[in-house]
Amino acid sequence: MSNQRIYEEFISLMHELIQDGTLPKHLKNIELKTSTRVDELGLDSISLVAVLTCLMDMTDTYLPDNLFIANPTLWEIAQRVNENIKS
Amino acid sequence: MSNTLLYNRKELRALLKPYEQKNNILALGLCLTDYLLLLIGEYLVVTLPLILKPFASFIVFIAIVRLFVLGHDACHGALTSSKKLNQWLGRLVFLPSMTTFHGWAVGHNMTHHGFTNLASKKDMWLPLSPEDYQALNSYEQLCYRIYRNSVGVTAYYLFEVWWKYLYFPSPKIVGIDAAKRFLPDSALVTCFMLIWISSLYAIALLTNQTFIPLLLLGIVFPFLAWNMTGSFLIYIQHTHPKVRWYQDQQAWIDSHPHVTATVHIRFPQWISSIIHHVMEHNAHHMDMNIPCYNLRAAQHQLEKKLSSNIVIQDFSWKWFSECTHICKLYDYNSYQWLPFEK
Repeated sequence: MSNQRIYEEFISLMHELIQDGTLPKHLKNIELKTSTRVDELGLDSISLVAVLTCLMDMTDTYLPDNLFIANPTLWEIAQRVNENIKS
Repeated sequence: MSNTLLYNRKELRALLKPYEQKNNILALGLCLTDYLLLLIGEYLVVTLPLILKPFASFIVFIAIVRLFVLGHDACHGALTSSKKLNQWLGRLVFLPSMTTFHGWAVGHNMTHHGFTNLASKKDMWLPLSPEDYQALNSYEQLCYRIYRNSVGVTAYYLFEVWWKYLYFPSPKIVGIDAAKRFLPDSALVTCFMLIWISSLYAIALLTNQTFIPLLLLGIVFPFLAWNMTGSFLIYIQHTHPKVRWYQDQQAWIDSHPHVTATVHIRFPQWISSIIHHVMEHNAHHMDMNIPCYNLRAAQHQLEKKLSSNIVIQDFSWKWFSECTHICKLYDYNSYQWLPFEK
């Protein structure tokens, strides 16, 4: 799967989680772009766990929680996810 | 038990895909039946003579357990084919066990299913290493010892799970933002409980009965019995001398936790039916989208493929006693259970 495809699925997952209340409402006002960094989203630890587990479920792959370490951009997260899928 | 899987997670999910099929009529029927069972139980608590009321209280308890299992499925989005219906039904059937839908989704769907038996994520029934145990204060050590005792096992869920995370979770534990998001569901279960208690009070007045026995037998005892049962069932689903716990995330990933971190405890068929087959647990961890009414068949299919990877245990009180005797502290380096005193 390409990084672009993973990224698109990741963003649509984020929108879904914002919509159903799993992620905080303030994210509705933040535009999710390839260059957006995790810290800019202002997520608490529970929300980060929610994103991580939903990503695992979406990709059917176990992902390490260092996925969000070093404040990656959303594009970099998609890349890391793809690397895990391939490995 | 072997840690080498012949199939990867995707292949196994594909194998179980047919069992994800939803039957909305059956799901709604189960919800209605179990709520009816609850009402019958409550009716009998009110109408039977005092000596027979405990029997009615037992029916209420069974109904709460069954409704909870349906709520668990709905929270996974597995009960019916409609996401909205699952969310509403889930909230409705969770009410008698005073479980908040959102709290359960975070604690169970994400933490427990996402990181089963991984120490860093503080999964339920996390065993402590001797060093971590020594670092506890005397009160915490006492609690830990009680929970790891074959009788004390039943107290864990009420105090460590429901009270801390599932009712009104403290902002200190889950963070301010998350606690705010949990509030509507916390208010919902509280309203339901107040209505339930008020109804019993009104009925006590109308039928010239003392309120306290009705309250105890109609709500308090069944609720406590549910908590004890939940605690016990979750313990035996993931605690077994042969099942490993991990501190190292890579080792945990390599262990295929979706299959190996779970025990298939086999109960007699009639008990399995009463609890909506919730102990067919490997299939559930492999694919949370399988509804309870398909779980037995899915587990059977999984065991045909992976018999050497799955810990299967016929339940007996003797085994349970041995398990609680062995599983006290955990050495995360050698993957061995340890006693409190060497």
